[in-house]
Amino acid sequence: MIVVADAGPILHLHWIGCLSWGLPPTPIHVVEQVWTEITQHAPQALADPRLEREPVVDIDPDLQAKFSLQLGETAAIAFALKHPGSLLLTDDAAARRACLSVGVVAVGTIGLILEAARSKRVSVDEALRALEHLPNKGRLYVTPELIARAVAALLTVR
Amino acid sequence: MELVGVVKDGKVELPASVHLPDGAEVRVIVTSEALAATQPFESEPITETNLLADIAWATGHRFDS
Repeated sequence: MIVVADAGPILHLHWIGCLSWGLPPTPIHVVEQVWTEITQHAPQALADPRLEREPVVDIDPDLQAKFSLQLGETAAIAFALKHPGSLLLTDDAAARRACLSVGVVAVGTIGLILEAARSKRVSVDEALRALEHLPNKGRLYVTPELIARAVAALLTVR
Repeated sequence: MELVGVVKDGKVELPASVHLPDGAEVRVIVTSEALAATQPFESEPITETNLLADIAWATGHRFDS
C-alpha cells in the first residue's frame, strides 16, 4: 500500500510530539505542494526519515473547485489517484469528501493514533494522552464530544 | 540555511551569532506562535462521519501486518 500524506496529520502529530509512533512505519509520500505547506508551519516535522518528498503534481482544477479544496489537498489526492490503492492521510473534511467521491481511502490523525495503539507501537495510555492533546496543543479542529468517543474506542483495546 | 528572527518595534532581530552575507536572499514567513497555538489548523471541524470512518479503519487495518 502506498501512503500519501496531506499536511494535517503530519503537523498535528508533530505538535503533540507523537510523530515517531503516530505515522505509519512505512514510506510516506509527500508531494511538493504539501511539503511547502508543512515548511511554512513546522519545518522540523519534515526531518522524519519516512517522509519522501515527491515532485509537484498536476492537479485537477475541476476536483479542486467542486470540493473547495486547497492546493495541498488537491495535489495529494492527485498523487493518490496516480497510485491505485493508495491511502491518503488527511484531516481536511473537504478532502475526505473528495476522496469518497473519487474512491481514495482516507484516514485522519485520530485513526492513525487508534491504529498505532492497536498495533502496539504505543501504549494505550500514551495514545490516550495524544488524543486529549489533539484539540489544543495539536490544533486539530475537533469537538470534545468526538474526542471522548475516540477515547472510548481506544479503551476497547485494553 | 534557515534562521528564525523575531520582529520587535518593526525590526527583525536575529541571534547575535548570525551574519547575513551581502546579497543573501531572505524569505520572510510571518507567523505568530501565540496565535497559532490557539487556532485549529483546519477550516472545518472533524465530523462524526470522519470519526466513525477512522474508528472503523483503525479496527480493521494494521500497517505492521
